[in-house]
Amino acid sequence: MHTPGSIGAEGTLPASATSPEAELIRAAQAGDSDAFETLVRAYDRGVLRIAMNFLRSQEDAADVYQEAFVKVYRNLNSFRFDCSFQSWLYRIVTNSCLDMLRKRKVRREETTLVDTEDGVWNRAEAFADDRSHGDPQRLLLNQQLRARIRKSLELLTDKERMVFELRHFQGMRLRTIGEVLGTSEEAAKTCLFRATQKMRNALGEFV
Amino acid sequence: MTLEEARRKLPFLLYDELDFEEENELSKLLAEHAELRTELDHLRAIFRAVDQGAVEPPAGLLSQCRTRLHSALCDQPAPSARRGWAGIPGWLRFADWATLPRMRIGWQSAGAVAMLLLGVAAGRLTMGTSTTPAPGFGGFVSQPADMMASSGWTPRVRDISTNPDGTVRIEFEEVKQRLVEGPPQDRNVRALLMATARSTTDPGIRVGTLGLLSSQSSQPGVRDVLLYALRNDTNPGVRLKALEGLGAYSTEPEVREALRISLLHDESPAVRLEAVGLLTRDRGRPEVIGLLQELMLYEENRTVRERCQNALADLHATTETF
Repeated sequence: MHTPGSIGAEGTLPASATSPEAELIRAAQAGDSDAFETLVRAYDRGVLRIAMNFLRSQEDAADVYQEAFVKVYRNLNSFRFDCSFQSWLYRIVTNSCLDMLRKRKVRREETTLVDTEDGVWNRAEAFADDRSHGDPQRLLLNQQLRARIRKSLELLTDKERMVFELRHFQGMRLRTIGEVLGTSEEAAKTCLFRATQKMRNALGEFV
Repeated sequence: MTLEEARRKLPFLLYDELDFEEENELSKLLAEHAELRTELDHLRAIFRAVDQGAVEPPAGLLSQCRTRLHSALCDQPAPSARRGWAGIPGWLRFADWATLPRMRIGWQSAGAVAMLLLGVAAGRLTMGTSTTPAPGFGGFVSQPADMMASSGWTPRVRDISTNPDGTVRIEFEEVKQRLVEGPPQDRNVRALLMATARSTTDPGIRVGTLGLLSSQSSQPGVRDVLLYALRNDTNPGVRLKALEGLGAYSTEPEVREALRISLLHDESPAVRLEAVGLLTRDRGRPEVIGLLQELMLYEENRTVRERCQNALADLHATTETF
């Protein structure tokens, strides 16, 4: 088994023909299910984190996780090592996320607010860190901040949001983001700049 | 570079996406213009707040997803070159099943369980009366029922289907008590320990398991298990044990990020205290100052505050942000 950290850590370069990751991919392409599992486990936490942050729904994130890896499984033989495996995988994931968001808009399910007997409840609060329960003040601050950030993120276009979240929540470099989204580094930079400006305007007074 | 251009480059300075020349030029302007520095500080605070808004997948969701994926891939028509997911060692697959008490149960599984229960009942009815297998079942069907009745053996039904001849095909896994002995460094023992650390409901066993794994944190996958426990385990004792194992790697980015999250969000003061210690172990990292200053804004535990203050003093930094 390979350590997740040891493969695709940079994720910016095409998979070298001799790298341990390339060996794994080749083995998986040849039908080695252990190798495929190792690949899944190397990247699946990141995949789930991207989906959770972007979709803010456990169910949707789980669906994207499954859809993405099933696609990878079906299309692994078409992976030609002309980009990193991580970029290839994340491209599938980000496309699935964007598709899910579009479907959701069609279904008019954008709101996270649900009417309950106890008043309006924000489903997204279910993701709040429940470990803060022992500290009401911190919980309140966290909740207010999270709510404000969530609202600010909604001001971004889907693509701006994806770029912004890949940079902030996944710590990806612009070059990788460009590769993942199938665009140039410069275009990703412009997109990130616009997103940052919007977030700055929206959060400026709060922070 | 004009001031306006410098302003536009500020975010990329924080993103570490400027080339050497741009960074140099911007640094000079920052040294000359206080308003630019103020703007940079404000932007840094915004970024810090945004990073705090990141959502971590809740505990258990990853295992749930892995199990669903496993089932989905089993249902996939195996591409010609592939043997399919079934090649994964059985005991590893069991580890995944064990992590998920509440998975989505499809009608097939529900039907399978119902049919299996019928089988058990039938087996019990026939026990002692006849051991002759029913025609067409090849002597197979009486086996599980006998085993369940005699040894507490539990089946986990994976799939059920009807054969063209009308017979039923039930695919199940046997869950039996087994004893495995070996040095903790043994690959299989270690893999079992790693699965146990994530799946067992007993925090005492989780602590003991992480203790055994801590000395092997350089081994593939072990650090992942420790990080998972630190991020997701509900028991502070387990999280502390995970911190112990991660101590040697406190300079690695992924570990530092987990420590940062623990420092700011962990409900246990003991864990926060330990995180301060590990994060400040390497004094050559200036970003930890901002983190500790942020913690000082709302940390209520006296011991953690004192530790934080001492750490800041050691780093020659103030306890407040401006």
